[in-house]
Parts: sequence; structure tokens; C-alpha cells
Amino acid sequence: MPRPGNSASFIVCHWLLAVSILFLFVSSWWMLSLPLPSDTIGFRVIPFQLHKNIGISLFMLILFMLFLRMRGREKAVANPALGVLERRLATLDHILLYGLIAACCLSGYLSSSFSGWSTQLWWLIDLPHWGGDDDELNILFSDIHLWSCWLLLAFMGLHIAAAMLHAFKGDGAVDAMFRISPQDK
Amino acid sequence: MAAETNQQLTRFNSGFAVVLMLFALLAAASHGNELLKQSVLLPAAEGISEADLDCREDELQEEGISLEECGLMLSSVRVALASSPDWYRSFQILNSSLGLALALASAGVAIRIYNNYEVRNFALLAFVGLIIVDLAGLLAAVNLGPLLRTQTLWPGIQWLVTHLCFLVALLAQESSPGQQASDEGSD
Repeated sequence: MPRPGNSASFIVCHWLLAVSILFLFVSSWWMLSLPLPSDTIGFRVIPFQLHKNIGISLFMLILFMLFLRMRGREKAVANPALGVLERRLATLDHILLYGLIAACCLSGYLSSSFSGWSTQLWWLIDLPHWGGDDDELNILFSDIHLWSCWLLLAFMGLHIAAAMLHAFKGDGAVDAMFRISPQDK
Repeated sequence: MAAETNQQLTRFNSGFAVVLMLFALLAAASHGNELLKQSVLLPAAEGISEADLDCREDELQEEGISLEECGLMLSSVRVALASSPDWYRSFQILNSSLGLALALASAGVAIRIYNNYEVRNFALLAFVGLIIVDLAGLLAAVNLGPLLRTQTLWPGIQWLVTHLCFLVALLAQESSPGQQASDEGSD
């Protein structure tokens, strides 16, 4: 009988995603308090590059996780302890969360592409600087980035609260991201 | 009776593991951010003066800040640097690196607790390590100038109390009747 749970690699991807998103939130609030850039002031250079690099990497990571799901190696197994409404809410929650993560990453990348600042992927590869310097588009995507990130934070709060609720009920709903498969032991 | 006690223990473990995982990730993010701060601030501040500030109107609008705030952003960096003794940066880099590693280790503890694996020594090492990191951070914060001390002391106390709570919860779980019954069953 299939049991709720994922491979160790999928679980690691999930927690890597979680810790990276928390880091992106806390570091972005701090980096926005740094002095604005000028010819001689460069406080924001490293934090912004790091922010963009983690964002791009996270987008790739969720594509990889989606690929694993599509290949069917990581099947979402319905927990019999959950009601129909709870299962539907869980599915909706996951679609919204992953959709919002993708929206945050894409809008951030697009905003950066029209900011006039170039991006180096992990200080190794110069990404094509195709957007140029377009203030209107930069502000538009920056606003989308801001609001999608606030929404993401709100849904993460709900996601965490729901996980806590199920964990304290002990109904096994959080097994998927905590329970290690017997073959992984 | 024994089945009920085991069920209670499983519930305690799953709740404890999820709360622990949340705080482990928050601590990891916090220590990661501290590492970033220490890597950036001092090197980027060398030779900078107010004259270098570039508070253009379009930039201010884009950032949603006033001209005064733009000037104070540099002052804020100066506050952090002026309140830091010479040893503080290298200390924070070391302490935050340790904190980051131990926070990630406590995430591993959370997974092990959820799966009811033997976790005692690993968990004790992670929690006591985190408490030492918090205490060292507090001791450092006490010796900072007042402008930076006020920003670092209270979060430091909150983390210390949080990690003490986890240590106490671990010890309480170990001495619970359910755990003792489980240990006897596995002997």
C-alpha cells in the first residue's frame, strides 16, 4: 500500500526551498536599508547579486521538483485521515505556494532585467542583459515582485499553521515532508 | 494503556519536530543574514563619506523613501560600524557560521525526532551548541556600543530562551512515561 512520504532528495529540496525563502525575506529587508548605490557606494552590490542568484536557483529548483512530480516518482498520496475538504485545501495551498514562488522569482528577474544592472549567475556566468534600462517596466515588475512576495509570506504562514495543526493532531499529514522512506533509512 | 501512551508520544514527537524545524530554519536564515551583513558592511564602508551619497529624485521615488531617509541610510551603516569593537566582525563571522551549522543540524534533529530515531546525543549537541552560540552572542552584544547593543541584545535573548525551551522539551520528552515505556519495549 502506498504511504504518504517522499524520497529523501525531494524532502531535502523542500527544506532547502524553505530555508532559502526565509533567508531571502530577512536579507532583502536588510539590504533595502543599505545606502543607495552611486559611483563610489557599493553596499548593495553583493547582497543584490546574492538575492538574484538565490532567486534564479530557487526557480530552477521548483522546476526540478515539478519534473520529479511529473515523472511520477514523487506521487502525492492521499492521507485517509484527511477529509475531502482538507485534501482540496491542501492541493490549493500547494498550487498557490509554488505558483507564488515562481511569480516572485520571475518578477524579480524581470524587474532586474529592466533595471540597467547586469546579473552574474553565482559570479561565474554573465546572464544576457537583454532588458536594458526601462524605468516603467522595472517599477511594474518590482511592484509585482513586492506584492507576490507579501502574498507568499501570508500563504507560507497559513502553510506552517496547517502543518503545526496536523502535527499536533498526529494524523500523519506532515509525513510527506518528514517521514523518511524505509529504503532511505 | 501502553498503546495510548505510545500514541501520545508520537503526537508529542510530531508536534515537537515541526516546531523545531520551523525555528531551525528561522535561526539558519537569521545567522545567514548576519554572515552577509558582516561580509558586506566593513569592506564597503571604507573611504565613504556623505559627499558620495547619490540621492536622486527618481531613485527616491522608486525606493519610496525621503531625501532625509536616503542620507540616514549611510548613518545607519556608520552606527553599526562605530558601535562595533575591532574584534566584533571576526567574532560574528565565526559565531554565525557555527550558529548556521548548528541550526541546520537541529533541522536534522527535527527529522530524526519525527521518525522516532534515537536522537539524544545528536540533539543535545545541537541544542547545547546553539545555547552556547546564543550566550556568546549575548556576551558580545553586552560589550558593543549602545547604538548597536540596542538592536542585538533583545533578539539574542529571544533566541537563547527559544533554544533553552527546546532543550527542556527534549529532556522532558526523554523522561516522559511514554518514552520510558518505549525504551523498555525496545530493550
